[in-house]
Amino acid sequence: MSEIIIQTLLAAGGTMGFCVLFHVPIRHIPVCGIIGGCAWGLYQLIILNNASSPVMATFMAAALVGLLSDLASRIIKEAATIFIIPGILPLVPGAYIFYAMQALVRNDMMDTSTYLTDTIKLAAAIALGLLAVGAVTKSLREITKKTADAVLESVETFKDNK
Amino acid sequence: MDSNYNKKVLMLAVYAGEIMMKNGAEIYRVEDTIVRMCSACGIKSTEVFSTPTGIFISIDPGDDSQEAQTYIKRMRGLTTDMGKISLVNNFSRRFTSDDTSVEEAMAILRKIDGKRTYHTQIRIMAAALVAMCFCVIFGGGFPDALIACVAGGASYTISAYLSKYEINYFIHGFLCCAAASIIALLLCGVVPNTSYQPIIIGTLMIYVPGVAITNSIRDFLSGDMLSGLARMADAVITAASLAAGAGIVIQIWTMTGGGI
Repeated sequence: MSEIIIQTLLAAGGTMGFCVLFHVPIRHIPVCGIIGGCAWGLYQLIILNNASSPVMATFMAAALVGLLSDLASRIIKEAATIFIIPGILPLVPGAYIFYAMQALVRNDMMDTSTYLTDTIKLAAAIALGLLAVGAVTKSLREITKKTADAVLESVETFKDNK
Repeated sequence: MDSNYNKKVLMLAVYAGEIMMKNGAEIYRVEDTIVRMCSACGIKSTEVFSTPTGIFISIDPGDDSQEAQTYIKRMRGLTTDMGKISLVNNFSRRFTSDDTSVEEAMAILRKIDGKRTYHTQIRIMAAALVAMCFCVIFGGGFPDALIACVAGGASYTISAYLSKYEINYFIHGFLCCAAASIIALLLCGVVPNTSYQPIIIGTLMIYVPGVAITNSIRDFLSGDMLSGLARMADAVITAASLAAGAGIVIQIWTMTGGGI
């Protein structure tokens, strides 16, 4: 358990570092740190309990980033990109790129192709995680907007009839 | 409203779009901002087509006495600056609701474009922090973290220095990663109980194309296939440049008998 907490804190620190590199306004940096930390914490929680493969864990963590960023963008009234981009970075498979390259230098083609495939799978998992949340929140927004409009309209007609 | 006014509005919208696109906004946001600003100035119909390498805008003022106008803006060199995206985004919303004149708006946008949020020294420290944190996450110990801190800071210093000269982005990623690997390998040879792998991974994370990957997905999601593909290609080539930088250094190190 303490392992996961340490990893979460480190990921939060790393994410906040990225925020500075990407010129995120200083008042949003803690929020980005929390989002990045939570995502990596969830990933580690799934991996360390052997609950699922790294790909599925990345998918879940990316979905969490999408969800939290959408929430934050609504509360703070700021574009969601500002939270998504730093938040997603701990999940980006930088280590796998390195392992693939190392295997290539060793001239070990088996390992190279394994790690390259893993890299692509993880990138796709991030994509799908964000995509799933993006699609759901977008349609939810439309539905709530339409429902609200319909309710308002019916209230108006009700008042008129009275 | 004469055609001179229309031209000013067009330039304003192009400038706003350019700032957003250059600093890593999604296509949907750029096009939305441009259309919103034009329609706030009373332009009847606006068509925008934007990709990460250029913006094409046509405006039609909507009466027969005036001709439609088109502007093409070619863009080179993408960076990431969330602060500017946020500022332009908020400004464009404000611009549509109050009566800021076009000249004032242009002055505000120039101010936003010239703004620098964080000083280079602070960014170098942040890069060192990133390298340190990810070094420990990928299995580094305490001495590894310190070396990663040095390597990350040094390679980001080189990166900041290189970005002053408009150097090819492949070479940029290659050199930064090669420098980080050289420092990691040299210091690991001197300091006992260290391994170079987590250090190089940590410094690699600074340059990993996370923005390109995320934006390409978001572009695909909103139906901008061309930009999605362009950014995906950007991500792949950047990743290749990083791997090549680290790979060649490690190869030479092994060949010269550095011993890993």
